[in-house]
Amino acid sequence: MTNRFTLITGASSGIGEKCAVELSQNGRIILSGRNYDKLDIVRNKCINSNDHLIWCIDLANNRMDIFNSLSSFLKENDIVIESFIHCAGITKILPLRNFIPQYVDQIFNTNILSALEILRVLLKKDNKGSLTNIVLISGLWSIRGDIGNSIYAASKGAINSLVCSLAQELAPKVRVNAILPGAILTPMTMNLLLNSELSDKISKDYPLGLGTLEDIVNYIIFLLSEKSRWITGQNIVIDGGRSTK
Amino acid sequence: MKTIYEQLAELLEVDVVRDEEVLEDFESWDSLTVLSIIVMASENYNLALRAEEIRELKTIGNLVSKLKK
Repeated sequence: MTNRFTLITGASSGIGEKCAVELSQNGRIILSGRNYDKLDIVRNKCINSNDHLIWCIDLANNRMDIFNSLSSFLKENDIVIESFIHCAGITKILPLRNFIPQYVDQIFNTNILSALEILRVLLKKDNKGSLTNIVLISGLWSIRGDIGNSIYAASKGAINSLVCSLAQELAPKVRVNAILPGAILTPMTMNLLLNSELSDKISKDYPLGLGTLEDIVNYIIFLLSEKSRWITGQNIVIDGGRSTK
Repeated sequence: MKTIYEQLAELLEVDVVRDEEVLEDFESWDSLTVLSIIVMASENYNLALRAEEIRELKTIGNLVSKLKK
């Protein structure tokens, strides 16, 4: 069995979960998140669930532990990471004036700074030769304004800039891209859509309606494949046309 | 956890708030405060409030009873 893995953060729900289940068909994955039980439920939905591993860590609060934790995890299991997909992300909708440093830190830690720690591990000599692909999930609100979302937007904007320079730094062996999804249909947003006022607004804002997790994960699969071999350093907007407004 | 009055005082940028005080009279009372209250209601009290519902309230006391409902 291969010792090459795809590492997925935020794997217990949303895009990360969908990614884990889809990618488990073609290789071995590491599911990462802060809640072991939730990750284990997702692992059981994966094809060949016994082939996949769980790396449990709280990215929001333990940023300084990430480097050592991941280094020893890779060493103990004697494995390497081929692709890294950073889906972990949190937000807190608040006007900037009401933010406290603790929330700012948690959002930045989870959304961008944890990814830097993980990348530092993946680019050290033991793993460097195996790494070929990095995909970071950003968000449409990094390039469009929204009240109460400034900190989230700033953290996602950092992802957009990171991929540009990192793509230069790591070419030609490693490709680095960011995906900027618009609003996605999930069980949570489905409830919101029962509110007809909101549902009207969304259908007006989104020429192609709301997206699904598949719409994003299909593109991630494309980015991991050789078919996208000439794409690197890009901020790829997938939003049903929302940003054309 | 902070009391509901402490949380509101923080949002309205004053030391203390009292039941009889009128929301519109606070210097910080604006649409962003309303947004913050919607988020606070959903996170701390599991309530889905709309902006209009909050706009209709007159005093701190009205707001507190809305949040505690």
